[in-house]
Amino acid sequence: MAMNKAINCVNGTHRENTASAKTYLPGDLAMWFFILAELTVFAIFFITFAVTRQIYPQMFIDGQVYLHPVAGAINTIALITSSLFVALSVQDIKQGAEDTAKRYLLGALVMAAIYIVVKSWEYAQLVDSGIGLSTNSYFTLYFMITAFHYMHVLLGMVILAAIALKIQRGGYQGKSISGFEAGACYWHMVDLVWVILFPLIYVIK
Amino acid sequence: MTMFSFSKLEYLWLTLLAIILFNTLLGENVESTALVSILVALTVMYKGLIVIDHFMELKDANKYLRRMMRIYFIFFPSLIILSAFF
Repeated sequence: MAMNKAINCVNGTHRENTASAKTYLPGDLAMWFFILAELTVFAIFFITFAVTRQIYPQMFIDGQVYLHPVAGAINTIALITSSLFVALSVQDIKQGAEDTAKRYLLGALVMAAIYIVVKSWEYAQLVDSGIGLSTNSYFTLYFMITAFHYMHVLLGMVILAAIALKIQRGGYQGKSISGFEAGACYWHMVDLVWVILFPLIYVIK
Repeated sequence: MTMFSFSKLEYLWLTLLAIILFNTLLGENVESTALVSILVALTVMYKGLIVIDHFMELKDANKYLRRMMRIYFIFFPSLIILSAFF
């Protein structure tokens, strides 16, 4: 009887923990509203890109010739790796390992910088070939979507740098890491958008 | 001597890298077909769900938020598949 009660008690606690885990929000609610709003804007871009491709298929095939799929793949690897570093950093800060958390964030920033350099090189190549925003509908959409994402990467870098500085100053010692998690989730959103952009722009013909 | 070991996140990252390289090879070497679009869409779906569940840590977090994020990564790859047939 006592044993049954103990088991029920343990099960009850387990249920409560599971229930609280299922309502847990990494970061804060305001950041999640922001992330969902950003994803909605990108969704409109994705749909516009796909619909325009259906209307002008040959223009899209001709435009893709000017892109560099290897540069796109390097950028995808850089962003996925930076996302891994940010996730590992969150794990470490939860365990109080501030030095390694900071190092992972710096690694994520280096990966983001690789993205910026490669993307800037791609833009420079296109401009040197005489291609710009007004060349045709394909390049208008290409520049608008990727430049919008590029700006998100820059903002994400500022957020990651601010978090790294806060770690440096001991700002998370024994305090809430909600701001840290919010910044990390924003960065993962930037990565997620690229996960769709890369095949949409570089791979699918 | 300590052995270097990968955590689950790192194994998932390696899987994602393999998928990225696979997608790039597809884009570079294979003629565009509906099958390529379907394969790419499925890998996009998988990559998205991995990042949402494991990198964003939503697997054991708020179920409504997780559902919304997952729907996004089921909806858009499905559109890619649909567009392959029209």
